[in-house]
This record gives sequence, structure tokens and C-alpha cells, in this order.
Amino acid sequence: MRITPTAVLILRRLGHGAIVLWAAYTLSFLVLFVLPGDPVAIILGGADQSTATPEQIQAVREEHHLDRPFLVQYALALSGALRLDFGTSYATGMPVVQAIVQSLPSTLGLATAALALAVVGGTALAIIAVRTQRPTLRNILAGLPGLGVAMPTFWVGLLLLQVFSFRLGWIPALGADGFLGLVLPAITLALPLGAMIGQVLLTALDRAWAEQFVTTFRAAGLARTRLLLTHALRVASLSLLSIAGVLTGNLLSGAVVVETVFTRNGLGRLAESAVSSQDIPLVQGIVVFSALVFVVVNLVTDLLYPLVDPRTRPAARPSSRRTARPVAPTAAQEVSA
Amino acid sequence: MTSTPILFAASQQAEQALTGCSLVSVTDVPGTTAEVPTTTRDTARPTTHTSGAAFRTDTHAEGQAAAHPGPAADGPVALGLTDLTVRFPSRGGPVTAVTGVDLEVQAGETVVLVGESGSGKSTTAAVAAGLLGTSADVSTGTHTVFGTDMRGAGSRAWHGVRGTRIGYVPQDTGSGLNPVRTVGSQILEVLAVHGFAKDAARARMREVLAAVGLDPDHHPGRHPHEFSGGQRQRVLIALAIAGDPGLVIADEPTSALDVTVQKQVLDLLEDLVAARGAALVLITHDLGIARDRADRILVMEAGRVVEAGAADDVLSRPQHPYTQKLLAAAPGLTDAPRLRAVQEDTASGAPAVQVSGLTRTFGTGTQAVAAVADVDVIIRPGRTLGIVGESGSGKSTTARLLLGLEPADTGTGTVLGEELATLPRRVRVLSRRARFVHQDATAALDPRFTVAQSIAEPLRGFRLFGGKAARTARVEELLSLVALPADVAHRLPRELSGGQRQRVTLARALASDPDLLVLDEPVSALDVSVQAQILDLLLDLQDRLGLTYLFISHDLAVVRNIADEVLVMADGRIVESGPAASVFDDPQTELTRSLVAAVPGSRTPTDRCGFSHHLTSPDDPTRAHSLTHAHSLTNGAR
Repeated sequence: MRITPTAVLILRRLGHGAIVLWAAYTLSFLVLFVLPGDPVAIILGGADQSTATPEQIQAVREEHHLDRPFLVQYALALSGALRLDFGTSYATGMPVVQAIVQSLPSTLGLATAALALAVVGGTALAIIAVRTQRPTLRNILAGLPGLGVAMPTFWVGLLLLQVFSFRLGWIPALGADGFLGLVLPAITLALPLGAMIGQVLLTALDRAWAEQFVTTFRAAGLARTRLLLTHALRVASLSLLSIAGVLTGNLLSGAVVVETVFTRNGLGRLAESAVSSQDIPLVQGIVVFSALVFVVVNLVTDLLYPLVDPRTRPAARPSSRRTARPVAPTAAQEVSA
Repeated sequence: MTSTPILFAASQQAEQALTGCSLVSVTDVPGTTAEVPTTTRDTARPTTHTSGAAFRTDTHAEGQAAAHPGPAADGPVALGLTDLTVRFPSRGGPVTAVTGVDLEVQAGETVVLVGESGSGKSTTAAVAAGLLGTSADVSTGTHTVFGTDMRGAGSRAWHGVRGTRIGYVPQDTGSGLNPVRTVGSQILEVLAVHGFAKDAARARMREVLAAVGLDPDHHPGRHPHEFSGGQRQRVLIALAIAGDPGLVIADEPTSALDVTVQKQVLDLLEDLVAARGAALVLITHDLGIARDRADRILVMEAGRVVEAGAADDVLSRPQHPYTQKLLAAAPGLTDAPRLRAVQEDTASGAPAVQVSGLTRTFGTGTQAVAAVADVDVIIRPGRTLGIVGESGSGKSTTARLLLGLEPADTGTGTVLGEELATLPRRVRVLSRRARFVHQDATAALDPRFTVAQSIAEPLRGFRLFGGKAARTARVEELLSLVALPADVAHRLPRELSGGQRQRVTLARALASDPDLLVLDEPVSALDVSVQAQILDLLLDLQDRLGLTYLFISHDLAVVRNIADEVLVMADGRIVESGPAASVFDDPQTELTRSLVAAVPGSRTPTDRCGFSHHLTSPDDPTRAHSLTHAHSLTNGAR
């Protein structure tokens, strides 16, 4: 099989990704190790520790390798992680991987809904702001993203609950399932994302609108709206790709807050409770999983770039020469004739 | 549907009447193998032509003419613009960009608007094509496009005019086309807007691409960055003529191109417009282009038309002082070289630069490109060596090698007494005695430094003229040397004109009292009248300070004016060298001849009719083909 430049790129990126995952694992292991707090106490259940017998304590220590030196503990844990075994949750005794997989669908649904809302909202805002002929409307729209980013997510969530659940009673505050339960959390999570998308896209659209090709195609007879949608937006959307990583980070961190505020079971809530109860294996599993999400998003972004921006494609190889051919005399022929 | 044959005949008559030629001057629809990045000469040229012929009937059958009547049907006046005044709002009150300009263009006529930067020529063109932004305050006496009143027309009214009645060709600065879409999709979209159905649009696209000398099979699938500058300009022309407009407005369409490519593109534009009896408005700063292309010339200065008339009258008997000044300042190949005050002894001392076998290769293996190959350079002290060549010919790399900014692969000799081999290590020592002056003075000056700070920079760097008072005195001395008033010292670059900025970079280069100046296109970004002043200054400085110049330019006329000796470079090699006068007046190689012939302003009157082309190359098969193209385009469009 011939190795194409794309294959080389993917392999290299996968290598980078593996290093990132290892670093995330090791760093979190180190941090959690030096953090104060006795794992045995957490496993045996907080205040009840005094009632545990020394035998029980010893058993727990052995089970979780807590009696071994640091490096041995690290080696054992890492070799387990390589086999996708991140140990069991201190609090529930459930395997970490299982706990994450169980909470994933809920968060995935929330994130997808929020991302869709954010993309639609942010894009609409940017397009209307660029398209409008009224300076006031434009200024208002251009100011909205700053506001959206500045508002704390938990506050927005509480505000929405207050208005729509308690005052208007449209949506039950707790325990709503399916679509109805998704509405308020998705809006809350989408707000800062949409603001970011709107801001980046508006700037990029303004820049694209000042490009010379806009004049070219305006002169060729294209209407403003068409020019905006088929030309400027296409160029401007490239800049969205470059903030994909930041958006992912916002989605993950936003999910923690939103799921806690709306008491939804999901990865964010799992992370929140794991941290507050010092459930070390679970925290570590979630850290590594988040790192994995980043690695995948960045890999996909890298692979998408050449598809949406032809200028970043690897240069055509000389063997593709058959596609080029002369259609006219050379400069010298031309002039001497 | 109107009667097609009559329309076509009428447009042909109009064209003949105007040029006085009995043959429609479809001389050379060029294209360049030189421009195609990778070339295989032997493939399918014929397909282009068969397709061109075949599609003629197709498009005809689609009946596009019903939607877009041909130019001749619209009456004789393509554009009627009278008493145009344009003001732009600014903080200090409105600024008038154009005052009382009349621009009337008859069908089939070529009108050239000439002026320097800021003369209002582009603004005038933008108004004519309805492209000026809403922020400007425009008032016109009349504004008609083929008889339709366009005064106060909204964007909807303009949509029936842009692209179909007025085609607009912008200057390609690299972003004239959407970078993320294929060229084909961009042309097809424009055609769809003009009402072409899918198949008809595809056929029409092939037709216009063939007409501008591009490959209808392979080029549509490519992106703009895969094209050369000349090819992109061809695509822009294809877009402008796609809707078969009766009037084409081209704003500096070739200013970014090499001379030979410029000639091809202008020939193409002229032929396409002539073949369809359309009118052409050409905007340029280059009087040579005006001389070669214009039926009528309008000279603009500071927003006003100062002179207008038939091309011959304006150029041979200019009435207005500004036109006279422009003509006097424009460098021409036939001008006598600028004379120096003192003629030096030609054999004084050892050469300042004597290098032979200079070679520099970039890349390795099969990708290796020889940027400079086996180049010999000799510059005598106090003299000027000009290096001319098109972009990518190795001019600038040669200069960088001579200054040690780039290590040479091979080559022996000395530069100002320093051995070539050790130059890269001695670059700091050499850089005091040999200074570089760049084309773009705006980029070469730190925008936050005052003029005095910029000029004093090398004094600090080389630890010369220690002490504040001594440096201030030196800065004043340097300013007077480049004929700038002393009060300029405390201004910022943005407060200066282009010519003043270039004088500042010259003053900075002279600060360390160098022996050799490398001038890389020092006047290419300047208007002709300013260009002439800077060239005079350079010669004056050479006399007074005994400077040696290495003068790099793509502009043969400028080099002819200033250089003693000339090297003509192509593909990293020297193709011709010798005294400037003999190289340009009696070129020995094909390449130099083609460069000289491509310089605007050098066409003879017979060239304009296309006779000489046909007579001298009756057996060139490409001529016949191009003829087919242009005709098929004319017919197919109606």
C-alpha cells in the first residue's frame, strides 16, 4: 500500500494524541496523589472510618494497592488504564469506564442540542448583523456576543428556571424527561457557545466582505444576499473550524455547571460529584476521557481543514501533470510573432 | 428574437470604422505556456476548438439573446456620465474625490483614463459600474448605460446591468476570486444569475474560458491559488465577459503582472472587446498602455479631467501642463538615458563587485530549483548595474547572495573586497558598506518610529556618530541629502507621501556612509512623476557620493534610464549582458527582444490593426485557432 500524505498526517496526529492522553493521565495521577485526603477513609465512607477494624482498613489498602510505593502504584494504574481498566469508583464500587459510559448518552444529547442551537443562533446573528442596512440594529447585534459570553452559565440557568418553570410553569423544574427536559439546559449551555460563534463569524464575515472578490462578483451581477451566503460565509466559516477546540472545552465545562443546576444525570454531574467526594479513580477517568474528546476533535479539525480550505491541501505531486497543459503560445512566441 | 446577423454585422462595422482596419483585429487570443505551472505541450489543444465551435449553436439555441440584447441594439452611447462629483465623508468634513467629470463612451470605442494615484480614476469607474459604496455622496448630471438612466438606481435596477451590460475587470491583487471555491463553480454561479440553464451555463463557461486562453477541461476544477497571476486575470476577464456585456470597464487590469504577461492580457482584452463590438474603458497609471490601446484618452488629476481627446492628439500635442509633465516624466525605451552632471572615468579602480559562477539551488532531489545558476556579476565603482527580468527570474536572490544574506552554493570573487565564500559570516561588517533599499517603503519603515528615529537606527546599530547632538546633526545632513525639509524629522511615516517615504529609506540607507546600494525595485510602487524625481535623486547622489548601484527592476524603461550596464535574467540565468544602450536597442536574444517588445508604449500603429502579426507568422497554427475562439464567442452570445 502506498503511504499518502494524509495517512502520514493521521498517523502523526494519532501519535501526538497518545502522548497527550498519557500526559493527562500522569498529571492527574500526580495531582490526585499529592492532594490531601485519605483514600481509605473515602472508600470506607467518611465519618464511619473510626468504626472500621484495622483488618478492614488493611484489606482496602491492599485491594487498591495503597500499601505499595508511589511508582509501583503508578505503574499498576497505568498498565490498567492501557487495558481500559481505570479501577472502580471509591464511592459506588462501579467500574469507572462503566460509570462514564452510562452517563454519556444524556450529556451527548445535551451537547448536540446545545451545539446545534449555538451554530444556528450564532450564524443567524452574524449574517443579520452584516446584512442589515440599519447601523443601530447592527450595533445591537454586534454587542450581544459580548453579553452572552459575560453572563455566568449557572446564573442564566437559574434565571431560566425561575422564569419558565416557577413563574410561567411551562416546563417542570425537575424530573422532566425527553425533549421538554432538554430545552432549558440546552439553551443555557448554548448561550455562551452561540455568543462565541456569533462573534468570531461576524468578525470573519466583515473581513471577507472587504475582500476584493466581493467587488468582482458584485460587478458580475450577484445580489448582496447571494454573495453573502455563497461566497463570504463560505470563506468566513473557516475561522469557526479554528475555534472548534475552544468550543469543545466550553461544552464540557458548561455541561458540569448545567447538569448540576438542572440536576440532570450526565458526565458533568458525574464529574462534579466525583470531585466533591474525592473519588480519585473516577476523576481520573473523566480527565482522561475529556482529553480523549479534545484529541479526537483536534484530529477531525485537522482532517477537515484541507477539505474546506483548498489552499491548505498538500501540494499536487508532479505526477498529476496530465491535468495541466498549454493552451496558448509561450510568451516568447507570442511577442515575436 | 431580434435578427442576429444584422446585429453582428453592425458591431463589426462599428469596430472597423473605429480602428480603421479592414480586418477585425482578432490577432492573438493568447495564453501562455509560460504561465501554466506544469506543462505538457502535446495534449489536447484541439478539443478546445472543436468544443468552441460545437457550443456556438448550443448557446444560440438556448436563446440567451432574448434576455440580453447585444450591445449594438442599445444605441451608440454605451456610457453617458456627465458632471460627476463624488464626495466622501471624513472627520474633517467631506472630501471631494471627483469633481465635474464627464465620461462618455461610444459603442466599440476604447477610452483610457490615465492618472496617478488619488486622481479619482478608480472612483469614476466605480460610479460608472454602480459599485461605489453607499457612504459616498454622488451627484451626476446624467448617468446612462445604453440609454437607460441609472441615476439613483437601487440595487435591484443595477442587477439587470452589472455583468450583462457592464462587465468589470478588477486588478487581481491575489484575492479577486473566492479562494475556497473552484474557478468553475464561481463562473457557473455568475452564469446562473444571468439566467443560463445548467447545460447552457456549462457550455458558455467552456466558451469563455477558451476565449481567454484557458483550458475548459481542466481549469474549471481548480482553485484560484493554483493559477498564476496572469491566469487569474484571465479568469477575471472571463467572468466580466460571461454575461456578454456591451461595455467592459477594466481597472488597472495588468498592474500586478510582468510586462510580457501584461501585453498578452491587454491584447486579449482588446481583441475580445473588439470582436463583439463592445466598448472598453481602461484605467491605468501607465501612459505607455494608453498610447498602445486608446482611441480616446482622459487625463485625470486631483479629481478632475484636465485633458481629453483623441489618443494621438493628447499624446503628441498635450495642451495641459499636467499632461506635459506626465509625458515628460514617463520613462520610455526610446528616451536618452538621464545624463549625469559628471561623466566619470570608466576605468577607475578595481571593480566594487566581481563575482563569477554564482549558483544557489533551493530544495533537494527532484524538487531542486536553481534560483541562480552560474551568474557572473561585475560592477565598477561609481557605476550602476541594472538587473532586469520577470518575477521568479532570480534577480532578488542574486542581490541577496552578493550581500551575504543568503549563502551561495558555488561562486568565487569579491564584494567590496570581501571574499564571497566568507560573506555570510561577514554580513554585519558588509552591511555597513552595502545597504539594501526595498520597493515597499511603507513596509520598510516602522510605523511607530519618527523619520529621525528611522534614519538614526543604523547609526545606533553600527555605533556611529556617538552622542545625541552628533546624531541629530547627521540626521539633518542626511535629510538634506535626499532633499527633504528638516521638519520632516519628527513626523511618522503615515504622514508622508509615497515618494517622501522612499526618500526616508534612502536617507536611512545612506546613514552608515555605504559604498554600494542595492536598489530592489525602488520606484515600482511610485507614480511616474514621483518615479522621475527619485531616479534623478539617485543619479545626483551617485555623483556626489561616488556610490555604486545594483539596480533591480522588472521595468525595462526605468533600467534603460539609469543603468550603465545591464544583465537580463531568466530562470536564474543571465541571458544577455552588456551596456544598457546596446542591450535594449539591439537585443541579441529572443527573450530580451520579447521583453523589449512588451514594454507599453512601444507598439507601432500597424500593430493595432493586427496586420503585422498575421504577416510575420502566417504558419502559426495558434493564430487561426484563436480567431475561431473569438468569433465563436461573438456569434454564440447572440
